[in-house]
Amino acid sequence: MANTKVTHSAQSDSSNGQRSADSNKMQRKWEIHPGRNKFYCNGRCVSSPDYGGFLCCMGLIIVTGGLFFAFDCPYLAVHVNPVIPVIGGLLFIFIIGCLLQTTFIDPGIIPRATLPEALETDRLFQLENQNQENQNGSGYAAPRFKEVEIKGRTFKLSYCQTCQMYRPPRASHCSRCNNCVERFDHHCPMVGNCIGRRNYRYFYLFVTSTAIMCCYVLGCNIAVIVLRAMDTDVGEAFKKSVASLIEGIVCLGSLASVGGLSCYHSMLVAREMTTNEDIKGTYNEKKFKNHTNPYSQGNCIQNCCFVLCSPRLPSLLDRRGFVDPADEENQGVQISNSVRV
Amino acid sequence: MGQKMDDLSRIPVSHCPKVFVQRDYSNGTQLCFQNKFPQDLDGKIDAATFQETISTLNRMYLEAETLNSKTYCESCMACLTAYLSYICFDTHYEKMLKKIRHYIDEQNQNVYVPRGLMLIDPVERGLRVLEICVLNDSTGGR
Repeated sequence: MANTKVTHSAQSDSSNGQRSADSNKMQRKWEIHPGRNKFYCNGRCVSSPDYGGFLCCMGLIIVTGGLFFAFDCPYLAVHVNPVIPVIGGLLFIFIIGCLLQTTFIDPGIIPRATLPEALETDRLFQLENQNQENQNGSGYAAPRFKEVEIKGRTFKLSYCQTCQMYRPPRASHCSRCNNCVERFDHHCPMVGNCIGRRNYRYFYLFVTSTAIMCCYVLGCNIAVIVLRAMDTDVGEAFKKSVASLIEGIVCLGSLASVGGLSCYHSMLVAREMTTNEDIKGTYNEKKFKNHTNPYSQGNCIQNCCFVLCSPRLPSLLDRRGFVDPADEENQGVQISNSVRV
Repeated sequence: MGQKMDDLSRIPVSHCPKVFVQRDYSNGTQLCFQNKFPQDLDGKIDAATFQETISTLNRMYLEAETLNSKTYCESCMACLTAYLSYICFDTHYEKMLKKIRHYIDEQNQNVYVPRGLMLIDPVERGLRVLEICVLNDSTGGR
């Protein structure tokens, strides 16, 4: 294979240097993924390059939850009702499950176009633009786009230079992860992933259940302090329940941010819109005359069902598939190098 | 049968000319391919057979994506287990994709490969295009 293209090999050589040394084993596709995403568990999990926010988030939840289960729950179980810790525990597990799903599944990354496909798109574009270029004559390269009609409304699909394709409707390029993401909502540094078509529902449920959990813990804290104050005097009660006070402060702080976010996203879910579209004002009446949202299912209940319960889509990245050595599209140079050495 | 399918996958497809069928977005982001017969396939296959394949594929994708009672229960079940059930079970969509792969293999076997064409499963192209390889280009374009 006389391939002289050495574009992508430099950066990946360092990461799999020891791998190519010890084996001629087949390379998995996630290892040559062109975006900036991080992969874990041999390609099973995907997240964005920065995980600081996720660790912070997770730490806060576990510490607060731990304090709640260690100090408040035993007291409330004895003095009020043993169901209280059970409900708290279920909510806690649910929150952790949603957070892990949001952070570690593929948000709906659209794989980049293969070489033949990109060439074909280019060829069609050249064909279409030949007569137009003759008209204006200047060297100015206009942004490329394609017009499609969705339920009677015309949308522009802009061309993504990085992914070499026309972005599907609602998709957008995440500059942090360097990928196009389907139904792009936003890049969330707190959960450490893009929020897209595949993980929006987990994100929404995470935010909402966290808000509920905050209210629940806050309520329990107040109950503990009040009950203790009724037993003894107020000063003594506060002295005994320092953990409850700490939890209360954390919960109030979180509730201020998460509560608002939860309300905002509930509104978006009911209208079947994304944050991205809301910010751009795609369906804004003042900006556009024909402002209806073509993706809305009808009424808000149907929208909620659609967003929260529609079938889980498969990941479009074949992360764990093996790189086919015969495939030139997949930067065949890496494989040919390791075979030669 | 299985042996034959293996043979199919060994046909080299990276160098042959390709025809691309684009997505049809007129119904929103629902997965659907354009039913228009591409000019480049003229003389290689008749339009009716091609359109039959495309509409069958579209129907199967629609079945995979629509929200019915079964998928509704599946989502609710997953939600109740804090989404841990996805680790253990294949979802409805994944099962449909397997079915679609079988259908494409079968169509390749019976219809397309004898006529010098081959369909590539759209999943391998990110469900963005349906790629059709022209295996033996009679015009000598290779």
